[in-house]
Amino acid sequence: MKSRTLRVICAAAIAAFLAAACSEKPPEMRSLKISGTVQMPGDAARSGELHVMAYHAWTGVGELRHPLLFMGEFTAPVGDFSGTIEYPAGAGEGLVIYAWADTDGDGVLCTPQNDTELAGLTEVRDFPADEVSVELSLDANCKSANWFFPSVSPSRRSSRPDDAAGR
Amino acid sequence: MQATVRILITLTIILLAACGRAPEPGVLVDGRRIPVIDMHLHTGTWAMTPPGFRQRLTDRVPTGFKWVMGPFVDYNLRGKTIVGQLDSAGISAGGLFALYSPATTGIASNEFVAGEIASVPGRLYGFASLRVDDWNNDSAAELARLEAGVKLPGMHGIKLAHAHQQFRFDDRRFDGIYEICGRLRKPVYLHTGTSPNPGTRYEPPYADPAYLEGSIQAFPDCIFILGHSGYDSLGRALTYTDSAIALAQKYSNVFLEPGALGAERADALLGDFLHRIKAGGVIDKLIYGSDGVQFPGYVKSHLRAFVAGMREQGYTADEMEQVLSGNFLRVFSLPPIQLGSGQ
Repeated sequence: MKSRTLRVICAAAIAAFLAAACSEKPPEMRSLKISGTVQMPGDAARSGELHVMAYHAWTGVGELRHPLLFMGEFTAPVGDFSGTIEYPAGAGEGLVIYAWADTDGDGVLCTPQNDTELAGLTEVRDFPADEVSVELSLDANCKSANWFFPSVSPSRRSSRPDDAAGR
Repeated sequence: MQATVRILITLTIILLAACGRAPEPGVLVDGRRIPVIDMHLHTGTWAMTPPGFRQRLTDRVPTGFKWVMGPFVDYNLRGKTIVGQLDSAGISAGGLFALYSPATTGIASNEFVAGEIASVPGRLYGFASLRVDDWNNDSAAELARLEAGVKLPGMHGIKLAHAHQQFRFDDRRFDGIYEICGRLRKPVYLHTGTSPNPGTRYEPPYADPAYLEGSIQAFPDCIFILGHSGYDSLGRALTYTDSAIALAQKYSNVFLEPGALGAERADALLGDFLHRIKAGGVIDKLIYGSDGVQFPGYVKSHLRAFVAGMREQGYTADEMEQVLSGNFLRVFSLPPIQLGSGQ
């Protein structure tokens, strides 16, 4: 191989190395203000803290594509709520808001001894946005976000497991 | 600079391991050579590793060398490489896990695992798994995937990781998995406790095996192996270990596995863990595993630390043999290992 060709290859390799070394950028962060109202069954305790969590509905490609990429969370007194999260832009698509009421104040949605805490979820259709307003119905005991979402598609509604019908 | 030195040391170890002779199999205790099975090993590929986990792995590598991680992972997690690591540690056989954790640690399909097992006949026992992320729609198809997976050649059990797959231990929609476990007599290994991997759920319903008790009671024919024995790897604490031990004491179909408790990260906890196992009277329920192969030399150093820990806690040779291979052979109805007649 001629020495000039070798020099060109070496220069290209060094340039590629430097480009790789300098190409990492921190993700751009965005703010999302989430406000909403909460509905609960009449006999449910309305005390304690509401844990509000935002997820992208879907993320990833191919076999690694999956629902519910966590974006951020905040807490507020049970009732009408408002809060802001920071999340990395471009990590996923869609928006799902999930919340549960921590009525015993232990920071955990239900324990083996307490299965009365309520959760609910709603999908926000109008997203991306800087601000969203939602209405959440907390009516399922001890359920995580993946119990609600992805919901049963209409073609499969008849084959949903019995327990998924809720308590 | 420190990371560069670490990489050079790792490469040197790989080269030395390739040139060195494998030690005699087993662990020598009181003049007796005890066979070892490491039931907790991972395989996979860089292509099926999600971005967050890739980031965690490449964070350990200096900028400019990050491209090395892909080829390294693909080489390091092959069946033949894994068995090379077992040989250098004197370990006779291992359990190899399928994974369907697209949000955290990635995917190693049942078919991929069966292929890796077939490449090293007689050395690896496979554990099949399934996806759970769209359960409301795909449960029937996924249960069928699992049932087909555990019937593949070389498959002996089921692998789940609630914290990585992001489903609660007390979510009874998933009882169909334990029904397959009991009906086909394929024990289920479940990750308990936490892990430092991005995307992991850390709340107690995903980490504390106490939340699993309803399913354990409902499926007495299913053997539940509580992986990591409730070790809180993120917090470096035995947060859920007593909970795991209590279940092993209470139910004949519950066993424990100590993956990663022999790692350097858990150095300060291992003695306490082994003491709790002995004091709790559940040595006959502990099945050795390391959570390897991670990096060259890991399975060996994990085994060395674990054996040293058992010695310090006064485990007898018989008790060590139960933990290191006897309990696994009993649970999986396998014949004894004859050391000296080949691995």
